[in-house]
Amino acid sequence: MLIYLLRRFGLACWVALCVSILTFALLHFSIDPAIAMAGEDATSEDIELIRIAYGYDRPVWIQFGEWFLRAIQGDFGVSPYFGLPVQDLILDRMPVTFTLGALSIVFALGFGIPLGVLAAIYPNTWIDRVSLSVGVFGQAIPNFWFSLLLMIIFAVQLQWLPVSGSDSIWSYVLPTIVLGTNAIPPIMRLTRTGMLDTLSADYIRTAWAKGLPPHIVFFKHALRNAIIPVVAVASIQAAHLLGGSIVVESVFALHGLGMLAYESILRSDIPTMQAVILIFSAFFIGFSALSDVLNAYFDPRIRVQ
Amino acid sequence: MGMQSQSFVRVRNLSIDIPVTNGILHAVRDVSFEIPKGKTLCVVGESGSGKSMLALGLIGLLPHRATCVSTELSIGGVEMRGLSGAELSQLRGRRIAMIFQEPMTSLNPCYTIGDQMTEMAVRHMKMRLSEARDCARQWLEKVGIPASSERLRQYPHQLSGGLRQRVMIAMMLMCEPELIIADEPTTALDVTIQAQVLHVLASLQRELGLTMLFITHDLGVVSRIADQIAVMYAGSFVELGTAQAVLDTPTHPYTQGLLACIPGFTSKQEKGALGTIPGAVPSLVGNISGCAFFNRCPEAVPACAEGEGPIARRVGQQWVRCLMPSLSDANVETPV
Repeated sequence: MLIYLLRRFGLACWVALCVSILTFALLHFSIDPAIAMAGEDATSEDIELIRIAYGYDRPVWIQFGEWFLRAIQGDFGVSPYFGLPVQDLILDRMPVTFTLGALSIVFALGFGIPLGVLAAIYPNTWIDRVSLSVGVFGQAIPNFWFSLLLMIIFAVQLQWLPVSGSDSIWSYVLPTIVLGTNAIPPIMRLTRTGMLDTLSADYIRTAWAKGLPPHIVFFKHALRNAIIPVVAVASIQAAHLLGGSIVVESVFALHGLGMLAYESILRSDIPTMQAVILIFSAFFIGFSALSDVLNAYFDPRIRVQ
Repeated sequence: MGMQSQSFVRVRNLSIDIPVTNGILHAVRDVSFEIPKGKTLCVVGESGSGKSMLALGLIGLLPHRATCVSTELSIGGVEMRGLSGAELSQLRGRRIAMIFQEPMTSLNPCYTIGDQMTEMAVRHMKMRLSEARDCARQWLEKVGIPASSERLRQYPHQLSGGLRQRVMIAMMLMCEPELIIADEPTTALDVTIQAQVLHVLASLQRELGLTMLFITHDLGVVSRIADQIAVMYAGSFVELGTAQAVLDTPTHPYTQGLLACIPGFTSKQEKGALGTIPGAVPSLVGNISGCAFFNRCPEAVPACAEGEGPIARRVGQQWVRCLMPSLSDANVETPV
């Protein structure tokens, strides 16, 4: 188990390194940081001065090495736009994104799992079709449009909830619905297939033969087995929600990491972009490792040797 | 048969239909039988003869699409037809237990043996958890599983097939049922383990006076435990009688064929020549005209292919569904 964990950690570090090399190279070749920093009216002499002052004239691999050595010590440089250390910016924005991500995944699980269970208990009935429609709707609807729609109805017309900002917990309601709705379909469909599979399993027939009441058969015996793959997918979905909130955070003006990513891209703020992308990829790496661990935890066949 | 008042299980004209894509599958066709209290009825037949469907039909565990009709279906004096799901679940596991063929997949992989055993006693016997654990431990010892406390903490995947089937037996007998339906409980096990498991089941049955419906395709097993034997073919009972009568004087050509398939079972058989029944069980989808065994029967006459198939007639000690000319002067009665 220890060797497994070490290997998993080593792999995670390796992926993180690859991601940072790739983003560094891509950013370096697509944006000239000196031009971006100098502004629109700068002369070519100014640009050259900035280039030399910030060391952008040196070979790429030296710049990367320097960034990397500082990054592993937690120093991601200073954002030229915000004028603040990037790590401070990120730590400042993280709670908003985590709150939104956690609420969204709870929302998605809270709707996805019951809908999937109902659809599997009553397959090919109207209940099944309604939950399938919810799934298709959740997957097909564009985030920005759904956000605006909810804003118009609940914030502008009914005035039940704030339009934007992150001042109170109420500000999170609409963004949570938008992000969560997006994560419902995979969770729902996986729960449905998992439940359908389990409900035809021999041990479910045993459970009925034991004379157990339906709620125990469905929720204790069937769901417990069907949920194992759902947990793994939900964990990846959680990473997706944390990293995929750029549109939703910008529409609702929630000052989280997604908003920071959006702002830094708009301002060609390379150190911030670099760090935010690394953080997002770290979410994915971390949560996929978590999904393996959760899988092992929930399945006694893996956990107990 | 006779002595009808003492029968624990009474089944009359039971048929099970399952709609499938190309028609209606008549899995069980007009089956009638009785099992006296404390006795064992063995249902013998090939794969696909409808044995398992019959078992599931008795305790109301058929697939949702299936329909089960009968003129009588009573177990322990309770008429099973028309019982609600909740009423059925009060009987299942409490008065009627069922043991399945596949010990490897019949226990829930996510819960410990203890968990799966105790939940039954908690539900049916209204025991507290600690009492249920003691009871589970006692039952594990009864089926010959030592170190029962440790076993209760284990998961099914940590146990061998033979142990799992014993756990299944212990679990299903925990609430002291009166009828046990065993659907090929030893088929998936090694031969040596088969004997052990069968021994455990048979001795507990005697000890507790359980009525048993035992489904198998293994005539060797049948000869060891059966009081009565029903031979099933294409969804109906072709021969039904006391174990001794059916094994000593098999009357239906199918029963004779089955017994000839066992090495050394009949004296007529030459050494080295193992009997086979040519052909395969006919499709159970749609109606079968005449006798279902017609195309495989060595003694078939043209009349066998006509009409609705033979009715059951009393021949000596058993009931036989056959038109065989040699049986034509037999004492014909309506079935049991």
